[in-house]
Amino acid sequence: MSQPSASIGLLLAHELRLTWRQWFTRKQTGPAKRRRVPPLIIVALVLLAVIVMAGIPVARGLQDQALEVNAIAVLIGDAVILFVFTLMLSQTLVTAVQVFYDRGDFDLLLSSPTSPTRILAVRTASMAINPTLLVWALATPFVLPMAVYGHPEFLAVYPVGLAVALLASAAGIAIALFLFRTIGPRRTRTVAQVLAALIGALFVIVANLPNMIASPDESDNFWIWLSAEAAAGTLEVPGFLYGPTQALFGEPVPLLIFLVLSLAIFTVVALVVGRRFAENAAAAQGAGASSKRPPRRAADRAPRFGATASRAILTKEFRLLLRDPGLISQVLLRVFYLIPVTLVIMQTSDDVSGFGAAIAAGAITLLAGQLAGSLAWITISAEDSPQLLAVSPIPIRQFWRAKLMATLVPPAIMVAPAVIGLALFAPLAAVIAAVGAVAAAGSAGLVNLWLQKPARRQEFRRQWSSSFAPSIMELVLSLLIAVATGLAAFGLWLWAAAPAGLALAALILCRRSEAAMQERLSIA
Amino acid sequence: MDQTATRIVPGAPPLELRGVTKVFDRPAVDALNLTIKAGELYALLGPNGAGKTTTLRMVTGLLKPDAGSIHVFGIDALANPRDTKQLVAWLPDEPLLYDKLTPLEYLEFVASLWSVPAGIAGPRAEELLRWLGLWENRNDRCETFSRGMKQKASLAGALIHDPKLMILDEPLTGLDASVARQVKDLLQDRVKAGNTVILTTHILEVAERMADRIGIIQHGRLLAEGTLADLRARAGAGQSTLEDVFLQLVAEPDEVA
Repeated sequence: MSQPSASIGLLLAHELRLTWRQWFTRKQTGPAKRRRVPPLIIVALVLLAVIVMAGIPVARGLQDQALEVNAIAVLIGDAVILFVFTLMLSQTLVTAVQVFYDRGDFDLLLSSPTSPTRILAVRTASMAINPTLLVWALATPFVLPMAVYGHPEFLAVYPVGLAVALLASAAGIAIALFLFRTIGPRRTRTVAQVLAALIGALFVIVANLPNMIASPDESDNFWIWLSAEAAAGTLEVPGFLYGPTQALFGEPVPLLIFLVLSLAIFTVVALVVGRRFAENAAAAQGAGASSKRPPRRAADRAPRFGATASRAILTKEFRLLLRDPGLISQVLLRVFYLIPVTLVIMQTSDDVSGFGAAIAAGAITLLAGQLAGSLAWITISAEDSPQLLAVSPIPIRQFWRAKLMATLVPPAIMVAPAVIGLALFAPLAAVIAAVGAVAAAGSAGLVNLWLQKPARRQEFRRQWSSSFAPSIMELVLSLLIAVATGLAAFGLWLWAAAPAGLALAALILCRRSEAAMQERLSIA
Repeated sequence: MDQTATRIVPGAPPLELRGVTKVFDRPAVDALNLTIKAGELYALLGPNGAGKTTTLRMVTGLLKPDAGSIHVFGIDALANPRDTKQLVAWLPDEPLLYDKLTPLEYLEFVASLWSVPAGIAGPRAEELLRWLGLWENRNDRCETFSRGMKQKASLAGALIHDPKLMILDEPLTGLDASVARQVKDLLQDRVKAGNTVILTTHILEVAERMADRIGIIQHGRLLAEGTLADLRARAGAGQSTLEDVFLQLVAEPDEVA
């Protein structure tokens, strides 16, 4: 007699529930549990707003235009698909490591009477479903109005989105398995995160490469040249590039080929590569703490007892920050993302000591704020052992002061070379940038302190969902101060006062007394 | 440290709770009175959700009571939390550790929080790590440790400032027999040296064998207290084990009927 086992539908619902809760469910803290607006309603309202404010105007603008698949359309269409693919690959690579390794439930699933093939198929399918839903959600505000206003062919965005997600998931699984087998499960997590972010940034960098390597005296950039060629009708594109865009424009045969091809690739990877990945993941979970990797050993040195409490807290925070490769990779990537953007903007300006310097000052400020915000979240909200600190005889404000200090030092070190570089050709802008950086970093630290909410270090990558209020405030403040810094560096002092005043007002709004914070954190 | 020592009221019990109350959705601790004598090992027992951990968390300063008073060696713990924290060590079932630190770095950090002078902290750290069998691993990060090793490192942290009152919440959870034995020996050594230990445990044999006095708590109230003989007499249970006595005392009226 065959034993009953979980159906594909049940397993898929389980996977989707876990994913939904990972992204949208925030941990309740404190005794008071307020009723919150369901996330689904928020998402629906945002979609509706984008449809009304952007989707319908765009669709009406294109209503009477014949959209044909010519060379420039192919370049744009393929670029969009490639862009979506890189973003999806970035996400699925991280997801592959999460669902196969971090979630740690393979022992449970594989010990059940459910077929391993079924479990694996559902898990890999869930990896493709999440990015698909995301792309559909992002496309819907534009695709639906366009379908209503005379371009129903763009409903093909939905199957194309699914096909791209299948390809990205297959690639994500394959890359993760390769990493898993070559560098081991622990390092895979870190390397996959870095790789994912690099892949995510790759498109932006590649797209700007022609401009970045162009000589400064060239008046036209690559994209302007491309537009001119297209307008003149002299632009030629290899035939094979037409397929994806034709699919995007709803042509049945290319659409069908694209869909079938991606489904076939996904199925092969899921069944062949994914099976090996699952076996490795299950084996790694069984190994637990006693992995093959030798224990990480600090250098043998004389113990340093007798430090003051503040110094001991600072030392501990720096040690924890420096020993977290995942965190370091994420922080460095923020720098990495800003560099090409800043370079491109600076190259577009003719006067490096004017507009370019102002942009650089703003970027330095934004960078300092974002770095300090990340570190503040890690050191303040994601304290590993809050009970130890609470039972120690040190006043809580002393911990907070030391932790704030720990969040300000690394950004200072990281932006210092940029400030010094700026000072070489625009000394006043450099001074303003330094002030802006200190203000942005300090504000980000204070917001994270005042609005702190206990979280686990592992939640760093989804810090936005676990600590939404501080994250959004920190971003808003960094942007306002960066704008103020940029305007001041450009000499528009009066204009700079407006964003600076807004930032100050926002900071005052966020302020909490020590007693209120202790109450919120249930500290006696 | 010296200032705190001078604040200790001579002859005052290590811990005295009067009318301590904490209400969450329902009263977790309900007007609890409890006095722990100097140099005893006191086991606080009770079913799940009885209020044991909440009581201990209030004593350690992790929770603020809604009503009542807590005195540690005669010092008002609610008015002078820093002074009482200096005298107390807290060891919950989940080790208070940092995975990315080594045991030696962890002890350096904890010793600094309790202002233990370098001349005392260094030798004591080495002694504790050697005694707990962690000296060879002193430069390994705690993330590579087994649960038992982590609990031992956490225990070393709790002892680095030589606390006069140790409070342990389920200290033997998840430990293998040899590590559990080491922890039990250590607690008895502490008591022999004149210190006081309070622990909660679901392993009733441990309480039966080690505790000088046992308190049984239910619905946030102290049901019974005393030596094993006192509890047997209270339950009219002759030579029964502590498990029998415990189950008899915590049985709801309809279960008894």
